[in-house]
Amino acid sequence: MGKSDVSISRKEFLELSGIALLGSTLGLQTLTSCESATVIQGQIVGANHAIGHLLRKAISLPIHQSHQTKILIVGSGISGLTAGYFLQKAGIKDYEILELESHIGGNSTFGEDEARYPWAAHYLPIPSPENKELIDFLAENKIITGFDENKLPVYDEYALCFHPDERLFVKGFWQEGLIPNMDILDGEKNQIGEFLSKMNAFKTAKGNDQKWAFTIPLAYSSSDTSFTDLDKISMKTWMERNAFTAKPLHWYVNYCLLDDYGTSIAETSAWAGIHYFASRKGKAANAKDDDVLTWSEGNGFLMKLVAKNQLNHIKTQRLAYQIEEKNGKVSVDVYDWKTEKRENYTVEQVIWAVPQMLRPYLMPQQKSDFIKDFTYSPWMVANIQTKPFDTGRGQALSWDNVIYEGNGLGYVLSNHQELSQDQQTWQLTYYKPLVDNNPADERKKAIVKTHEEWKSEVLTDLKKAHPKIEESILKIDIKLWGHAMIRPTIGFIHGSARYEAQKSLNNKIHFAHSDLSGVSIFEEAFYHGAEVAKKVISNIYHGDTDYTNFHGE
Amino acid sequence: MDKNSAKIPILLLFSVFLVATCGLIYELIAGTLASYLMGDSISQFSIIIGLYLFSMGIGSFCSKYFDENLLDWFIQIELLVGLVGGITSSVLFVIFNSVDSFQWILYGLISLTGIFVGLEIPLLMQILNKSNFGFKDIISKVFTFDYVGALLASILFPLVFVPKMGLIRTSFFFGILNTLVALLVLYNYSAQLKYRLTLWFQAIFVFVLLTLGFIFSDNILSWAEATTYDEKIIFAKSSPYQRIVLTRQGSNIKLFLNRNLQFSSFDEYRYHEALVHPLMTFTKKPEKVLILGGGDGMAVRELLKYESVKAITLIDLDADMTNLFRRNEMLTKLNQNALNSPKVKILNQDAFLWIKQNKTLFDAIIIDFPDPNNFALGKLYSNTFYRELTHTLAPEGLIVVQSTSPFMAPKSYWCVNKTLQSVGFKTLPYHVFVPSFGDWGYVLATKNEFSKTQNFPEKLRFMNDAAFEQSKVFPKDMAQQETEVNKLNNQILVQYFEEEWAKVM
Repeated sequence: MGKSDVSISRKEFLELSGIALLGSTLGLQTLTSCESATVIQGQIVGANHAIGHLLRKAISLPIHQSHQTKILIVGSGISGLTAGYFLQKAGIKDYEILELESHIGGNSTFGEDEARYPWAAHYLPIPSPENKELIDFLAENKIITGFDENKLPVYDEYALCFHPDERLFVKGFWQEGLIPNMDILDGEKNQIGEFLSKMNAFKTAKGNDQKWAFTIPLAYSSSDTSFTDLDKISMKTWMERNAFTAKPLHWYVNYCLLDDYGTSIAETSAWAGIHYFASRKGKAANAKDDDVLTWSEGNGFLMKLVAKNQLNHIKTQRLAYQIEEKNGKVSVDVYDWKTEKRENYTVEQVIWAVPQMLRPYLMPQQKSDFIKDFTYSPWMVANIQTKPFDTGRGQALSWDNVIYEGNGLGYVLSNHQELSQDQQTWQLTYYKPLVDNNPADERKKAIVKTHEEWKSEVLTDLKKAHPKIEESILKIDIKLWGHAMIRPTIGFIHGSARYEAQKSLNNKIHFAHSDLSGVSIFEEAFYHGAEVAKKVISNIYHGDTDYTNFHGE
Repeated sequence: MDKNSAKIPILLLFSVFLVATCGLIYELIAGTLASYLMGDSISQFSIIIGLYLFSMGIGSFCSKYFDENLLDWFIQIELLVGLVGGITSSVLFVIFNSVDSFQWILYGLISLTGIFVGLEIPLLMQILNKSNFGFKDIISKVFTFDYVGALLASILFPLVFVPKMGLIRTSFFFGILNTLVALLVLYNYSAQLKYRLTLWFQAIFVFVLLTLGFIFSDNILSWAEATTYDEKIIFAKSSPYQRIVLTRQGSNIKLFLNRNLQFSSFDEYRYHEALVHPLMTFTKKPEKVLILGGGDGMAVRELLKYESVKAITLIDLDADMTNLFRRNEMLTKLNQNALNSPKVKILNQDAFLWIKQNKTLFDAIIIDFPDPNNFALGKLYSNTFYRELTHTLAPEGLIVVQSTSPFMAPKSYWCVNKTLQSVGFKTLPYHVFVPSFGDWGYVLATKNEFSKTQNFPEKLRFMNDAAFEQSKVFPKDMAQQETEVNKLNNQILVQYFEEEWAKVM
């Protein structure tokens, strides 16, 4: 996202968002992606164009309804839902969650028709033992079914990714695993080996503060500059400096970073790049350290668990468009685009659980120059329903199927965790971060493409490995994510913007989102949701205001 | 020389060329087919070439008995070569599995083609000789065209015809070429021919026959491939899940699922008695029994030999399979109409999903799934699946699992044993010899002790105390070995199974 993206005024934003919903290229797709997240089923399903137009009217509308609530959470992605989850655990019930779209979940959104399939995030690596809150959450929800005599978690075997998990299509043949190992030179093979052992060394490395050099949550990582200085160069530069020049290795690292961050090897900082390989320290009684948890609906499964006890606190189809402090409280203007009515919330505490890039629009009175450092990568996700097809030579159809030097990131077989012998339709989820140009340009390009164009782009890529796949395809749905992931570019993670952005405003408006970590993964969203809940809970119980009435109901 | 006789050499020399090409192609097709169908390509090619050349010699020898009506004879021979050569490969493909003496038919057809081809050239030379050409010229021209044709054939055959047309179509194609030569000569010299009407009739018949063969050669091929079963197919159906094929030879009926032999009526009693009865001798008052797989009803037939058994639930995904074994008279005779017993409840459901939601407890569970040759089936042999079974098994109940061959795939077999143990079962591995399968293994499992509660039924044909005692002994070449536990997230059993069967297939 360029500087121009954030320099428009709130009034312009409101005016332009109508156009944005009609397919503007202003990079506001996350906000406007409510119904405009272009779901295509053989055609481009039209966005809810009316919202934008009516939004302009909203400002002139009289306030239809005024609400008083103690806490308001804006956004029902993982961070917002997690905040609510921990509020509930602390016995706090006087809160509401507002969601712009008509469904909840953010990047954990999933689709459900004949099959269930993810629209974005689709797995969780088994977490490190240090990630106590997440481990507790998983245990509470029976994804961890118990602990063995060494206190290692025992995971639900239906959630651990079934074998075969990964395969890579190289020169007409599917090899097992994603690290290229077929048809490569000895020298290249050696480099890959050295690279991986170097990453393993980083995995166990600690800084002078005795903290892990790289860990998840990212906030627990060491601030030792011998590691954090790696944030000042790109992963590509770091690899070149360390004589890691082999082409297959560069392909592999680039692939991994695109997959997790939506940024290329040249854009990702070396710290973030190494973090990908070195931060996961999962341990389990019944799984390998690098095993992952996955479900047909991807992280939608986890999202439902976080949300399940608070569904009556969530209001969808609500656009919060103005947040300001008034008389010691916070006033939040909300547009209900379903009923086309304007609402106002007067609340004690606000949990901001949407991307930072929206701050200048919703809180124009606040100084937020640092927001320009928050940039987001656009993605295209295709969900493809097929009849069984010839899966090619070599390793059998796997969970993750990647084409070497392919155009996208390959596809995940979303029905991989199904137990049935009888799988007459398959669901492939195909991922592609849009990284040919800068994110703003890519968003412009993406929004004008037709379903036919996306379809042929996806098919061209898949046909490299499955020449006859088209005959077996029943349906291709496409969804565009304007601002899918925060980009851990050079200097971002250990720069000042991320720290500035995390500061609460007057102890009344608090921030929680994975973009505050610089890494768009479930664990970080969960961490920020949990952290912000702690702050709010402490304010509620120990603040000077009278909250005696708080337990309500 | 008149006007016509000047044309003779050109047309006939062209015939020599085509005849030589076709002749060599038939030889190559025969060699390829023989090594393809019977293996051992060195012997097959060697025998075919020798036999073919020898037959040509016989043909040449016989040519001296032809004195009159040489052109008639030439056309006649040409048509015969076209017919026999053209249909040889499809005949061989089709009969391959249905006759015992395949190679004699192969050699017979080769000899016949060789004899006809051997006649062609000498006959042509005689014809040319009578047209007052110099002997030297005839020899030189005929053999030149003969050898050029041979070279062309041997180059085009592997590079163009086999890859582009396949053996059957190539065969028809050259048969048609032979017939066209005959037709051309027939047309041009009709006036000189004595039997022209008969020859015309024959030529057109052969031409139409070969052309039809050429057009429908794909159908012939697929039909021929369907006969790669050893015996006569008496039933074939593709259900949504598998290809069901029944064959019969004499009184022996075999069932194939996706080309894998499931049973042979000749010795299936061994397999099914061994599957069912040891389990029952250890089960205290078996009333409710669950069978997973086993849609053929043979295991049910064995179970119905126990009066204590009151209810049998059979879970088999494929309704086509269970319906077949409930309705087909020949098959209900085999399973003694077991699937129509009022004690039996058939559920055409997915075993894993059914087990996960099932709340009923069973006294005995019989698991008769196909071998774990793919990842979908591998799930049904996982520790997770066996753990689910413990929720469906009465506290004192027993399970038996068909566990592939401990001789062919010892690691796979012992992996099933280990996986059962890993979820808290005590196991009792045993194996029996089933001639159609080989040495076959089973594993009994229980959370209790194995204590015998009843005797084997008396009327069994195979299983008794002595046979069971013997079946518990594993000789050195199939002795227990260390393996990993088969889990959903490693599917190690499928890997073992593939490695071990790859060695012997």
